[in-house]
Amino acid sequence: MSELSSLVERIKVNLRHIAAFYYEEASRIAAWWLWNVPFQLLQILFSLLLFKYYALAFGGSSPLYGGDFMAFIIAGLAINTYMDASLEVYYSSIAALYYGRMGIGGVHLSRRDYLHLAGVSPLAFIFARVSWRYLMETLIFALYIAAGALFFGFKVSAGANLGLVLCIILLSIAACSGVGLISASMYWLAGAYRGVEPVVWLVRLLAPLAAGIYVPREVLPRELVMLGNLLPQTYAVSAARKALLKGVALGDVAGELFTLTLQAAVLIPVGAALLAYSLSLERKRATMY
Amino acid sequence: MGGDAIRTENLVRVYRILGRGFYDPGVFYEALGSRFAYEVFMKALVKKVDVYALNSVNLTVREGEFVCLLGPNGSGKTTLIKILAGIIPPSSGRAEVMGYDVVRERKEVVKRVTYIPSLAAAGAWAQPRLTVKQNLRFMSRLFNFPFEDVLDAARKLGLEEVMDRPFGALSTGQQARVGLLFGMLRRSPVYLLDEPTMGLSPETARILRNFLVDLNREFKVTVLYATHHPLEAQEVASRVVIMDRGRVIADGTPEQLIRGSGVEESIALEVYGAYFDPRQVLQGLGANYVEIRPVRPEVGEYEVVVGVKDSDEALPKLLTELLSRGAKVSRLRVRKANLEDAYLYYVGAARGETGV
Repeated sequence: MSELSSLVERIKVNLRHIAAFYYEEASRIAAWWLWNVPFQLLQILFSLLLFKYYALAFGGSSPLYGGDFMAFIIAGLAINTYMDASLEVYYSSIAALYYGRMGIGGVHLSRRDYLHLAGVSPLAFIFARVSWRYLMETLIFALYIAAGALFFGFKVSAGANLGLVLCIILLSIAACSGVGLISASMYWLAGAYRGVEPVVWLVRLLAPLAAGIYVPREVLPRELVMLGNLLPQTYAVSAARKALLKGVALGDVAGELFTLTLQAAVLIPVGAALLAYSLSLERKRATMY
Repeated sequence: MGGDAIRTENLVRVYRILGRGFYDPGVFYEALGSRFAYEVFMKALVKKVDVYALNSVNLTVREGEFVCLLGPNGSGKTTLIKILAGIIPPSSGRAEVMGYDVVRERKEVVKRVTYIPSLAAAGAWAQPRLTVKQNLRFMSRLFNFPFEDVLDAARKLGLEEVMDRPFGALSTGQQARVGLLFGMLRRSPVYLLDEPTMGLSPETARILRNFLVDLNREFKVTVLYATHHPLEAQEVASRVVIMDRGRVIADGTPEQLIRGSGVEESIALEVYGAYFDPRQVLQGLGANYVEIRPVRPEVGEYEVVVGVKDSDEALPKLLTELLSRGAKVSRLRVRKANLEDAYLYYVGAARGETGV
């Protein structure tokens, strides 16, 4: 009973910490919202205008893949947004955690040190950062959809399997999070604090070409197809297109879903282990250079 | 008084850094064209060396003591405090805070320690875009302090006038006060302070020192206070530990240290036209220590501080030595020895520079 109550207490404390970090993020946005938000809204408006005239130019269907153009846009936006966030949010959280930790034994303290001194788990900080990012991406995505529906008459095709799309999005978030965790471990393992983080850099370099995001994979050489087979984006994009453009059932994308699940099952533990190792290494060295 | 609040045994902290030449890239850096290429190339060639930030430190602080860690820059004060706060682990040896091992029972240690770092680090918490009030609200939520208590403490530190200004727009001293505020609110049996008054105005520094002295007297909290200002240490500490190059070189009450140094008086001189090495010249005068501070060495202008047992005996010899070589003395002051003199003596002795 006491173990249960101590667990409940720990959960409560962590939730309070996460709420405090949310407050900090919200305050940061609120501080200069009057400057930033109009630009963001204009960007959404002009992107939608681009989609509208793009659709008009190609008779309302996707020029590469056919099907409903609105569904094509939703698939592209949702998958890209969440996968991209999953790839980079862990690294940026680690960078935020260790920002300020420089020098050899000086009084330089990072946010990580302060969290430690305050008895705040760094995992609460990372969780708050990651979940906040997903919340923000969802908000922007919802704004796109709402503005598209209100001002441009966009509507999802009747045949689209939205439940399946949601399932694909969740699995692609999980698989890309594994890559994101590996990327975060590179902050210390490869010294990525210098600037470029090599893992996500490589994935972003390959994905547009080899995962079939912009180019059908059928036209690619064998080597690029093989490289593309390793990327979660390949399966996520393929499955999302089938679900949205052709309205297929679960059985028709089972292969993609299985591969995404497998990738998530392998990459998340590997990423978590690497990240834990890299953080222990940092603690031992306690200096950035 | 109770048991030991802090105890270290043979505490060692080693930083492995790239050896001589690496941090002075010179021609190789330019030839390779980028910092990264230089690093990759040179890391393969340059041998790593071990720098002992702490070298077998044995220290015991009893509960309720107010101890100052005194030492020059790079003497190991910060590393010792960081280890005691559980921020970095020791390379070897043991350290305990309130009976808890800083490595194995880190979480328990953190619960019992309040760490107030120097101004240089205080800003890491605060967001520059947010107002002081927003930053304080965030921190009060994180630490679970009633916001009213936070505001009350902010008023005591004279922050009420800047509450609605962005943190990034505050002066250095005001930012430091925000940093101090949370350290002051958190109550724990052990306070670890690392040069907390660096960059503070004298009145803010006094507020902090008074706060700590009151806390120590009323609630018997243990304070370990790192500074490189001997007079600050003399003012607040019941005991002073002098460190240099990672070792404890002296330990005692301020009075004991002054007495132990043998320095009873200090002679401060401002000289000019001294076209010679004053340290060399002052050798053999029987001083306890000689401190030379170059002002404009190109015109032979120096500040010379000499710690002696008896100024009546030492001063004529000192002046004769300087004047006979063409130097002129523009100012002369003799005062009773304080902790600064003892500090200079001990650090000089540890470096083999006394006995001149």
